[in-house]
Amino acid sequence: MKKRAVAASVSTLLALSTGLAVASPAGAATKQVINLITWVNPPAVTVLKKINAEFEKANPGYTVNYQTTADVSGGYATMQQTAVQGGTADIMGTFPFQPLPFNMSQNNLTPTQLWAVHNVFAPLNGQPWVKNFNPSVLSGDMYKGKLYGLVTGVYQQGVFYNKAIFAKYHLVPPKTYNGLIHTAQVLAAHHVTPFFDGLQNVGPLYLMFITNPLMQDIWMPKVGNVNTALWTNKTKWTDPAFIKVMVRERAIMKYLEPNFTGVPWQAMPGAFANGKAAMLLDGSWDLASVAQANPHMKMGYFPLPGSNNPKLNQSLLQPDLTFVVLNNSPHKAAALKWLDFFASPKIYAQYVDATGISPSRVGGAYSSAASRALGPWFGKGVMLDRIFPQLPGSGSYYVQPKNWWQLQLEMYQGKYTPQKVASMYQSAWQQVVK
Amino acid sequence: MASLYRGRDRVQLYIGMLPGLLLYVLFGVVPSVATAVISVTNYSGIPGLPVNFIGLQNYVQAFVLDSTGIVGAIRDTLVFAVSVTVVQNVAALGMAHLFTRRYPGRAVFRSLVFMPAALGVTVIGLTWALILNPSGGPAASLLALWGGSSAFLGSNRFALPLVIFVQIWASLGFTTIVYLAGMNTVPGELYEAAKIDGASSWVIFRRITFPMIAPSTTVNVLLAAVGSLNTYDLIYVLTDGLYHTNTLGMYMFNTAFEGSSNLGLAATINMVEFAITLAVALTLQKVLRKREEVL
Amino acid sequence: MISLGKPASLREKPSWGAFALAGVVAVVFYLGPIAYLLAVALQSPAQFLNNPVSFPRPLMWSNFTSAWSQATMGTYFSNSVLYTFFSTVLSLLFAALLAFPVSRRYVRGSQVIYLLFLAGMFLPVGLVPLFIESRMLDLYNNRIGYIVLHLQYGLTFGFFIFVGYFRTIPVELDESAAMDGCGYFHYIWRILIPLVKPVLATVGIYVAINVWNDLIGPVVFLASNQLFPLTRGLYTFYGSNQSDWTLLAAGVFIVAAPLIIAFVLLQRYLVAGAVAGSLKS
Repeated sequence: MKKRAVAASVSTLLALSTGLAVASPAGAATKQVINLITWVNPPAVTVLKKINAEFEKANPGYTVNYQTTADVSGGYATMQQTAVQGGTADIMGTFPFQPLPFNMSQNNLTPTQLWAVHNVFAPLNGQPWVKNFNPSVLSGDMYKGKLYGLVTGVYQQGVFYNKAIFAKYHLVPPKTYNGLIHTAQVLAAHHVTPFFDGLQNVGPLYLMFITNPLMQDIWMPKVGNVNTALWTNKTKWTDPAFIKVMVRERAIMKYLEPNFTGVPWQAMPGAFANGKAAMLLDGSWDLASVAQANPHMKMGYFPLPGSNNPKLNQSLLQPDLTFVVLNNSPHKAAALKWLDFFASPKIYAQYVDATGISPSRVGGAYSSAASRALGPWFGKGVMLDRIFPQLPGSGSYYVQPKNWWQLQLEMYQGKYTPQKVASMYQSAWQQVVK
Repeated sequence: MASLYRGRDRVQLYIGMLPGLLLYVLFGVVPSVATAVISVTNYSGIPGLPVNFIGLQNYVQAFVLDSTGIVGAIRDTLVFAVSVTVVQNVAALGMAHLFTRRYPGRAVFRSLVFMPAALGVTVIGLTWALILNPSGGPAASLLALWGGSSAFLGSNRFALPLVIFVQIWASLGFTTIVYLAGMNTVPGELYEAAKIDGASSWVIFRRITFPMIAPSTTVNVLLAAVGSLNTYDLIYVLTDGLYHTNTLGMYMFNTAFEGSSNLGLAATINMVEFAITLAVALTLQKVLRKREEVL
Repeated sequence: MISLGKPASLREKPSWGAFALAGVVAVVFYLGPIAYLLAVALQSPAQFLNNPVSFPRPLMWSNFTSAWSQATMGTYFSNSVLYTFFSTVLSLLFAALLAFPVSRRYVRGSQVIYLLFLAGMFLPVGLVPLFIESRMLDLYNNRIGYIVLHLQYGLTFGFFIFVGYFRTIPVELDESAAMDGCGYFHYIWRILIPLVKPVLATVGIYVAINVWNDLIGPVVFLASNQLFPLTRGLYTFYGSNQSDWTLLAAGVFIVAAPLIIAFVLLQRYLVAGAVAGSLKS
C-alpha cells in the first residue's frame, strides 16, 4: 500500500509536469503566435490591443501575444535585452537608432544601435507598406541602405498650457525666453505652479523637455546640427552656448512644482488635467491621457522658447515607437504580416487618432486630441536627432544616459556649476569620440 | 559502516544524490566560476557576435579609465551596508530588550515587527513608495506640519537614507527574534546576582546580557553585513539605482540588463562585489568569533 | 518550540515604559503602513487626489475587483503557487537525498561535497552566467525552467539543515532498517523524512517564502505575461497604473493579504527558524 502511495504521488508529479509542458508557449506549435513587446504609453497600449484583436479576427489561426513593462528607462530595457538574447519577441518596440556615432565601437553604441549594426533586426526593404511612408522619417531606422524599422510617427516636445488658467491671469503663449520667465513669474506670484514635470521612475531624463528645446534654440543656430558638430569636434560640451543652455535650464526649473524629482512621470497628465499647474512640460504622447483625465479641459501648445529671438524658437519633433522584427524570430513571416496589417490605412489611422502622434504615413486625414491642441504646430519642427546625440549605455560614465541627466539635476541643485558639468561631459565625451 | 548499503541499494544511494549534485554544480558552481571567466571577455550577449578574451581590460576600464561609476557604486554600497548592519543591530537589540519586559500585547507587537519577513520586496517596496509619495502621501503630510517638504525617493540627499530605512524596516523583526532567543538563554541567576549587587539595568545589559548573547550577535552582524552587501532587489523597486542608490549589485544588474550590452563589464562589477563581500565576511567572522572565545 | 518569554527571574509587574515604546514602534511603523495601504485601496481616485491621508468615504470595494481583473491576478496567483510548490518540494527532496549519505559519510567524497557547499556560501551569485545558461539549457521563459532555476536556494539551505539534523538520528536506525530489508528510497521517504518533520516545516516555509517573493528571478528569466508570478505581475501593474494609486494600492493589498494570513498562521515556524539559525552557529 505504501508503495502504491509513492507511485501515485510520482505519477501525479509526472502528470503535472507534462501539464506544465503543454501549458508553456513552446508547446503551442499549431497556432501562429506573434510576440509583440513595447514600453508603456497608455493610449498606444490601448489602441495596440484593439488592433491586435482586429488582426486576430482578420487572420484566423494567428494570436498576438502583447507584452509591456513599466517604462523605457528601466524595466523595458531589461525586457528588450532578454528578448534579443533569448529570442522571446518577434516584433519589438524601439526608438529609431539613428544617429549612429561617427566612429563606432562597442563602447559608444547604445544597445539598439549595436543590435541594428549586428543583424539582430530583419531588413524590411521591399515590404509592401514601405512606399507609403515618409522616407525622411524612416531614415531614422536605416543603416547601410537597409531599413530596419517601421517608425510609427513623431511626437512634439514642448509646453502644453491650460487655456483657462492663462486667460484668468491675462497671459498669452510667450514667444521669447524672457517672456517665458515673465509668464512663470506672474503665475508664481498668484500661487499657481507654473510648470509640471515628473522625474520619478524615469529619472532626470525627463528634464529633456527643457534641455532639448534650449539646445535647439541657443546652440543649433551657432553650430548647425549639434549632434554632428559634437561627433566631429566642431563644438564641445564646454561651448558657451551650452553653458547658456544650462543656466537657462536652471532658471526654468525653479518654476517646476515642488519635489518634481519624486513625482512619478505617470502622474503628469492627470495632474495637469486637474489644474495642478498652468503648463505641462511633456511630449504630445501624453495629450491623449490628458484629454481622457479631463475631457472638458482646453489646452494649447507652444514650443518652449529658449532664445530671445523669436525666429530661432522652433518646435521639436521626436520620432517615437518603431517596430522592428527580430532576425532570429521563428515567426518572421507572421510578424511581417502583422506590420503590413498595422500599416494599412484604416488601422494606422486608428493608431494616429488614439495616440495623437503625427503620422509618418503619407496622406490620409486624421483627428486627435493632440492635433487639435497643437493646431498649426502639429507635425512641424526640427527632428531631435539633429540636436541631441544618442548616449551610449556603457563606456564613459558621465555620458551614459542615466548619469548625463543626473548631472543636470545636480547642477540645478547646486552641487556643480554649469561650467564644471560642461567640463565633466567634455572629458567623458573625448573617450567616446576617440 | 558503508557496508550497510550494498549492491542495488548502494546504486540507489548514488542515484538519489545525483539530481542534487548536478543542480548544485550546474546552477551554483558553474555560474560562480563563469562570472570570473566572463569578466575577462567582451561578451555582449548579441547573437552571432564573437566573444573575445580581452584580459583585464574590463577591470582597467572600470578602475582606471573610467572609475567614476565603480567608485560611486562602492561608496553607495559601503554606506548602505555599514548603516544597515549597525543601525539594524542596535535597533534590534533595543527591540529585543523591550520584548523581554512584561506588558499586555507583547506577543502582538512582536508579531507586527516580525511580519515583513513574509511580505517580500515587491509588497514592501510599493507600500513604502505609496507612503513616501511626495504629493500628499502620509510622510509628506507629516513633514508639511513642520513646513517642510521633500522629494523623498527622488531626492539626491534622502533617497539612500530612505532605502536604508526600508531595508532595516524589513529585516528588523528577524534580527530582533534572534537576539531575543539569545537573551532567553542567559541564566536567570546571573540577573538575580547582579540585582542584589545593585547594578543598574544599563550595567546589567552591558556586563551580562550583551556578552552572553555573543553568538546571536555574530549571526546577526554576519547576516546583515553579507546580506546588505549583495542585496539590490528592494533598491530595484524603490529607486532603480537612481539618486545615488547605485550599489554594486544594482550597478551590476543595470549594466547587464538595462541599457548596456556590456555583460563582461557587468561580470567585472560582480567580481568586485564578491571580493568585497568575501573580505568583509572573513574579517567579521574572525573578529566576532574571537570575541565569543574571549568572553 | 522555544519560548520567547522573558527569563523567569525577572517576572515582575508590567513595564509600562516598554509597553509604550514597543507599542509605538509596532503600531505606528508596522501596522501603520499596512493600514494606510488598505485605506488608499478603499478610496476613490478623486478622494485620493484631494485628500490622500483620510478615512475612505465611500468605501470603494470595487477597487479590489478591478485590480484583480485588470492585473489578471488569477493567472499570476496560480503561477506563484505552482512555482513555489514544486521548487520547495523538489529542492528539499533533492537536499535530503544528498544530505543523508554525506551526513553519514556513506560515500567517498562526502567531505568534499560538504566543503563544496560551504564554499558556495561565499561564491558570487552569477546572475549573468545564469541568464546565459538558462537560454542554452532551454530554461528561459518557461515554467519548468523557472522551477529548475529556483531549486538552488532550497537545495543549499536544506542541505545544511538536513546534514545537521540527520546526525542526531542514531545510525542504529539505518542498520535495523537495512536488516528488515527496507529499500533505500523507502527508508528515506517513509522513515527519515517523517523524523525530520519539525525542521522540514521550518525549512520549507523559508524556502517557499523565498521563491514566492523573488522579483529579480522573474524579471530576468521570464518574458511572457502569462508565466509571471505575482511579484512580477504586481510590478508590471505598478508600471502601467501609477497614475491611479487607489487601484494600485488595491493590487498591492491583494498580494499582501495572503502573505499576512500565512504569516499569522505560520509565524511559529518562522520564529523557530530564526531561533535555530542563531543557536546552530
